[in-house]
Amino acid sequence: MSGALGLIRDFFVSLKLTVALLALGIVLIFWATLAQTDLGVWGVHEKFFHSILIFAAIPGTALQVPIFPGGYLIGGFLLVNLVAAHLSRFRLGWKKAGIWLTHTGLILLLLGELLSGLWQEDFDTSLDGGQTKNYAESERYNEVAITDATDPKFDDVVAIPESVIAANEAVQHPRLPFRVVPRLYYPNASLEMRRDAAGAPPSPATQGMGSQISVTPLAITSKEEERNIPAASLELIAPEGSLGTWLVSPDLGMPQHFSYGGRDWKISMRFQRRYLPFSLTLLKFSHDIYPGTDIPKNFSSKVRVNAADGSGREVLIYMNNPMRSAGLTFYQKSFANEDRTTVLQVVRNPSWLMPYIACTMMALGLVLQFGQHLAAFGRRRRGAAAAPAEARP
Amino acid sequence: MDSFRKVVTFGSLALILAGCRESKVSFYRVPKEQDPTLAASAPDNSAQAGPAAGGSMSDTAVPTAAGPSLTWSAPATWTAKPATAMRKGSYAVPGAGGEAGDLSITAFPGAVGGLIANVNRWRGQVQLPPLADADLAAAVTTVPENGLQVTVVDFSAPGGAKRILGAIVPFGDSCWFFKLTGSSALITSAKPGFLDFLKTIKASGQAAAEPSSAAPAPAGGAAMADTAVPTSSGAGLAWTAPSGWTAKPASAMRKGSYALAGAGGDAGDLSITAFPGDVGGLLANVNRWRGQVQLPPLGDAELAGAVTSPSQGGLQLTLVDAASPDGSKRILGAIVPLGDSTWFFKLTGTDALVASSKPAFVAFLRTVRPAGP
Repeated sequence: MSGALGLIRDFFVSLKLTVALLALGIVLIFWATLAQTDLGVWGVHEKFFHSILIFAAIPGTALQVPIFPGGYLIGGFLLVNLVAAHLSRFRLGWKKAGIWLTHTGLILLLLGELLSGLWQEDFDTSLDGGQTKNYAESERYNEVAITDATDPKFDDVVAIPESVIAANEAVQHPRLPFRVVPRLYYPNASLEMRRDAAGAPPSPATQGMGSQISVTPLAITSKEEERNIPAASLELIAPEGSLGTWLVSPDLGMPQHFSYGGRDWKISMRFQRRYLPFSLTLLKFSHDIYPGTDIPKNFSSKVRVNAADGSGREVLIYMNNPMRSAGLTFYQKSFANEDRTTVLQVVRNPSWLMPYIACTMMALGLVLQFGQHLAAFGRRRRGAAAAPAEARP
Repeated sequence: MDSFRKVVTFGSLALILAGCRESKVSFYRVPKEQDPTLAASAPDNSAQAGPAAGGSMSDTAVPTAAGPSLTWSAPATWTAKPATAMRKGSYAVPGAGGEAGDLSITAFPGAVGGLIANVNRWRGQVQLPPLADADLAAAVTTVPENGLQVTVVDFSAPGGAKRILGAIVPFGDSCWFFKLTGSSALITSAKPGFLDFLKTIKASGQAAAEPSSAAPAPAGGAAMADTAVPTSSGAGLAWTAPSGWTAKPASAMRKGSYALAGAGGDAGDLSITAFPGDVGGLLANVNRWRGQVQLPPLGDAELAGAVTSPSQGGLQLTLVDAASPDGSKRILGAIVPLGDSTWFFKLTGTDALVASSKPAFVAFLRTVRPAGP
């Protein structure tokens, strides 16, 4: 191996690197735990763990500089370090099978965390008693939905993620006969009837209800119990010219209708939706309390899962007993509306099995490793006991 | 060392992948949906909602009080905010300089620790030391209003940055909290309005017992939404919906919202909205609805022939009935100017549904009357 590659290998297989990375990891977790007070759990995830580097502004300037390795960098290096050290130090063989299993389990655990970070999606769906829904809504992300509602049986929806609007990118989608051009975007805002907001600047909206509403930008919140409610002004531009500008925000609560090209359209900004391959009907939500107290004992939702082919089955979802279906996991999360509405958390994580497999492998590996040692120790003791007396000290 | 190169390549790939969460515009077809109501789209804890009465209570799922509720009439200058799972009512109370106070109305089962605990919780929120039992009577004012015992407190943080003007109202098996939070200056200016507002609080049974003299209600009529919603102009309308209609939660935009069941399982949507001014005038409003069912706009001269304009109880209604050429969508609506705002009662559904619901809708319109005594 050439000198340079040899140096790199020595760096990556070094046990000192392992210790340094673990120390950095401890600092990162401690720092992130403290930062959760200001940033909230999602903010900490994004800034500390789902990042290559952690940036901070130089005091007095807006210049952002990296100051610490992020979770992906530390985890990535740890992974490379572990695999490299493994390949360069250990040889295949029964005697090392326990170590192999344990380390492979650890590698899987690290990979599983990486894949969860990349792939996991969290949604909520709230159902009133008797209500049927075929979608869940994101806890954090929003989208602009432009719907061709002409057909009486179905809606054709073009969903534009909020991040596209935030990036001020015009959207020309083959399903839309017009371009969607963001004119204004606030990541968090409050809406007020214009009449109640004396001195509000003129509205950029020329169509729909936006012209009667004034928008006040608010500071972005990262508190766990709060949610940013964005607002945006979108101009729709058809080949023959502008159709007007609409104000959209999840706070408006309903889509705005317009007609263009002989078709019925709806435009709205809403919580990002994930449509399910089936629909759910809430049959009964139960909130049991310990008798004579207000202390909750159990929350459960009896739902019917209605498949596309018309068949259905009943499922009881309760704490620590989620429903798994079509790659989605439905957890009992919360309730509202005086116990009439249930809130289910819907999680999609294709790598959800990896931690289970990893932990099983690690446990087996450790049992094997220590079992081998125990067996060898036992053999040595028996050997020592059988040895002739003169051979003893 | 081949295996080492593979490791480095794999590790780098994993790191690169980490930066690849991309957002794309997507397209999909879904079964027809009714326009959502706010209940489906508003978070229980929107960023705009301040802490509910009881501070830390808002962080945990606690049961709010069920059973009979209180009603009230908010002054026209207050802006209703969407109610949440925790809040029975929520208003922005304007002050000078664009500042707005936050009025939360919450209710919890039981006595919530008793009066002294509730008063001291609010005191803690404005950095005041807790009161002893003996000092409680001097720190609060208890007045009877409409048969309710309303305990009013007014605490200001040292320095006046935050002040809480609140009322605690035991009612039935639960305890109701009316809590106005803002700066000291704002509370000073809002206090007379808040005290007047407290006088309007009464048990919902009282409101329901009031005779609706304006119009005969359809048999089995359900009382109107239990919160009196101020319109943008100050005056409001009240109505009595038939019991067969399902009330949906009102939203920031909707004063009232109902689902009407049709024969084949399809549902119509009745929205009741109000906007300041004439919203472009009668012709523009009629043509907007016509546009929504693919009908060409009317000219000024054709307007009178396309609508009917009955008057009742001092209100001038304009009835619009427009269906799309293929019968898939029909709008039956009434436009009602009231003071300097305009109210819209709009029933949307299939042609068949609207046709079958029309008699009930027309009877319902006869119950529409100006709100208040």
